[in-house]
Amino acid sequence: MESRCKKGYFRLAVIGLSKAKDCWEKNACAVTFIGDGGTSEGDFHAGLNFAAVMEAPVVFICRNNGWAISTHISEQFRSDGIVVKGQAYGIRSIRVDGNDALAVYSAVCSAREMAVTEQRPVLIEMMIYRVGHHSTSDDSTKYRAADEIQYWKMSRNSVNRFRKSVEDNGWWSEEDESKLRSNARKQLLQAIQAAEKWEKQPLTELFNDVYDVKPKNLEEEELGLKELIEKQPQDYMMLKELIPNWILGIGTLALRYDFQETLFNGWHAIAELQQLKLKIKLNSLLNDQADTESLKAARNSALNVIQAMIIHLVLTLKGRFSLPLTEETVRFNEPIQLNQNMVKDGGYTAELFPIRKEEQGEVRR
Amino acid sequence: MALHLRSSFSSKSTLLNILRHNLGFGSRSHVTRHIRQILPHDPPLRGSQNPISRLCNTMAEPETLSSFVQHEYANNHQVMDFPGGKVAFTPEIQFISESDKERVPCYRVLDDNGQLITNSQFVQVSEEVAVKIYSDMVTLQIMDNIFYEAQRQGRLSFYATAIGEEAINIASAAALTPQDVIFPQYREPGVLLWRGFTLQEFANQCFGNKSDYGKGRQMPVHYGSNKLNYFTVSATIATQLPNAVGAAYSLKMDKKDACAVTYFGDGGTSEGDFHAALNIAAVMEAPVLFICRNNGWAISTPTSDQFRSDGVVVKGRAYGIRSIRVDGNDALAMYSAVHTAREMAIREQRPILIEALTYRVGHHSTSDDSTRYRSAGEIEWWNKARNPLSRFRTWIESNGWWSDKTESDLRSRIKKEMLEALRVAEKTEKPNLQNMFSDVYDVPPSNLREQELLVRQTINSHPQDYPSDVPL
Repeated sequence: MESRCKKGYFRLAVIGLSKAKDCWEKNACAVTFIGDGGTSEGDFHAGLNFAAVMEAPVVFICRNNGWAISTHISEQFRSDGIVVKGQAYGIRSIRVDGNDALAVYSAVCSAREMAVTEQRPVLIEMMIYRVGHHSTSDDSTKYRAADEIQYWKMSRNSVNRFRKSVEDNGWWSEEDESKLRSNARKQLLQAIQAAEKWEKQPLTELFNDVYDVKPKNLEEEELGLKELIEKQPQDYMMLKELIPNWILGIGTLALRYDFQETLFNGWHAIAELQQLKLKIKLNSLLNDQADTESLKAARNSALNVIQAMIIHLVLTLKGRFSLPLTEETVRFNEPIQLNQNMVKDGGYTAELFPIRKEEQGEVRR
Repeated sequence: MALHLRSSFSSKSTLLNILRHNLGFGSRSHVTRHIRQILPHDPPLRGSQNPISRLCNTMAEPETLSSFVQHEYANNHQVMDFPGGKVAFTPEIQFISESDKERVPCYRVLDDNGQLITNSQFVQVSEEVAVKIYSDMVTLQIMDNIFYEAQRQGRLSFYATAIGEEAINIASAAALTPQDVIFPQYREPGVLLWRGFTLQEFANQCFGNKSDYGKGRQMPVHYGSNKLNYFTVSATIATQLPNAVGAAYSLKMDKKDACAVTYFGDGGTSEGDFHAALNIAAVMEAPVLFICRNNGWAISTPTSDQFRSDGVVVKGRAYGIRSIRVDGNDALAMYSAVHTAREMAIREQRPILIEALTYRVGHHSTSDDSTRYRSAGEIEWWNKARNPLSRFRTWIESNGWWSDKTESDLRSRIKKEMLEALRVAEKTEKPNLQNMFSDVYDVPPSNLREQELLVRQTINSHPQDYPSDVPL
């Protein structure tokens, strides 16, 4: 089938048979994606300048979504966006409605053809909006209005626009949509379930692939870690997985409800725990035996922090939502006693985290 | 006596038009006509958190819609209300060319023969200022020649000349005030000269003697002067640009009637620091002048291997910075452009980019032999046909402000003074060894104290290897 590009606005003529031969020797180009925030990095500057001077067949695609985490575009640059940066480097450029699938397809198709046939870089600025948060560590309603998000989500939704287009062509229907969504959701839930059940990577992978032949210092580290695990398997599991997961779990709750002190405690606890783990490893290597005292100190320290975090979290919740709780309700009289079942459970128990348990059930259902 | 500078209103407005043209207004390019964007004219959704309220918005002024865009706008009634401003749509898949067909024109006032170009607009200079500009250009040239020879005689370790770029040095300095803060590269000693650095001070630095303000710890030509608001030269390329932006922002916060000025070469525009400096200068609306001496060569790298744009001037628009291209060998054009740019930077609190086209007639430094990568004919052509001193001299002579006798007297006097300064600097004692370890910390830490002790022990063991002119 004839390339769609040839039907487009641009019809590029290949100049010279020898040139054509060279161009199609490798009928490919490099493509790189960047956000509006990335355009302020020195690497952006070097990349575009080199591409122009070396006449490299590369397509630079910039997703200008208006926000770099919480930095508004007017505080990122003062030019008319990114498309004008093309001429500054001697690079051809275009600005595209990033929420228009057909426009994006056409522009990238044309840009690729230019890059490959003319052996030159091309810059594409996609005008778009980040409807979701920056990541799960972000709450974007802190720095932008909810109705701004809603406007882009509803009025400029890229999926809805393209769906209308394919429906108008008679290529799509309600039934197709419903079937696709149901099928995709099912597959995704199954994939999550399967991935969650699969074994983790073996610990030795931690030391692989950096060198073709493992050097002596990495071999020593690996041996030391193995000895440590063999001597104290249960305590290691607790330090490695349970306690950090608890701290992160509480931290996530604290983030959700904006409990800054709890977050700070969690961060501090993780840092402290990491230092203790390093100390344990060092003592283990030097003394050729597990450092039981340090291990216990680390465990108790972490448990104390967890207890403090839980108390603070619950008391804050009590104040905010008038819950019938007191400090005594959640204070532990002594460090938590764990058993093998708790270890196998992957760090979550109904007694300690009823909310999380419920969430897990929902996901699996 | 205070210097009286006269400037005509019409000349300033014309310069403004030149700058506006280079920003892209009124472009006749066939390609850009169809894809001209509606420039943002609504304030950003989120207010600034700067401690100082914005004196003005550096967003480009809204442009009249071209007929094409207007037509499209009327028919489709669709505009994207994007964060940062509205953007019009077009159904045509039009790529902006990598370069406009016509290159950005270069502002100049004097033609190759030093004659005023008809209808040229410039900031008028008085006889006094003009004569001082020319005298300092001559002084700089003589100083460079003498120091270059001294290095070749083994009396200096290193030297870099500004030969061929005298107009940029002196004319730009003349357009500034002593309160403006200078962040130089290493080819702008003329700015220091204009500000009052003496020939003796230059010589002291080059010899690294006891009278050198840097205490002998900098390579020759890496001058600095607190008194003259001239920051010490940093040999690493383009690091002075972000420094200048920070200083400009400080001047802004203090509401000073001054700006920061920084100089760099065409090679410096490829550094990440250039990118960061121009971007943050635009966003922070810092009153800073970026003066690029585009002399065509970064050591042995020609501009065609340095960038593929139409030079440095087009980079201004990419950052949202006003810019102009100037004949760097035309002292009158340089003076007028820098004078006008400085006025804009301070009054409007914004950065300005100036690309001064010039040529490096000398070698990159005394470590370089430039005939290895460029023809002697090219060098000679720029030295003769486009010599900045010859052109300006012709102009001041035509005004009756200069003569052959005056020229001869000046050259003779400067040469004598320069040789005397050289002799004195060479004889002056070197700084003592302790200076190598001081001034980095208020209280020297133990590792530096140990290093100094170690060096002294080594000297005690091998006294014959220690230079006899450096006190212990």
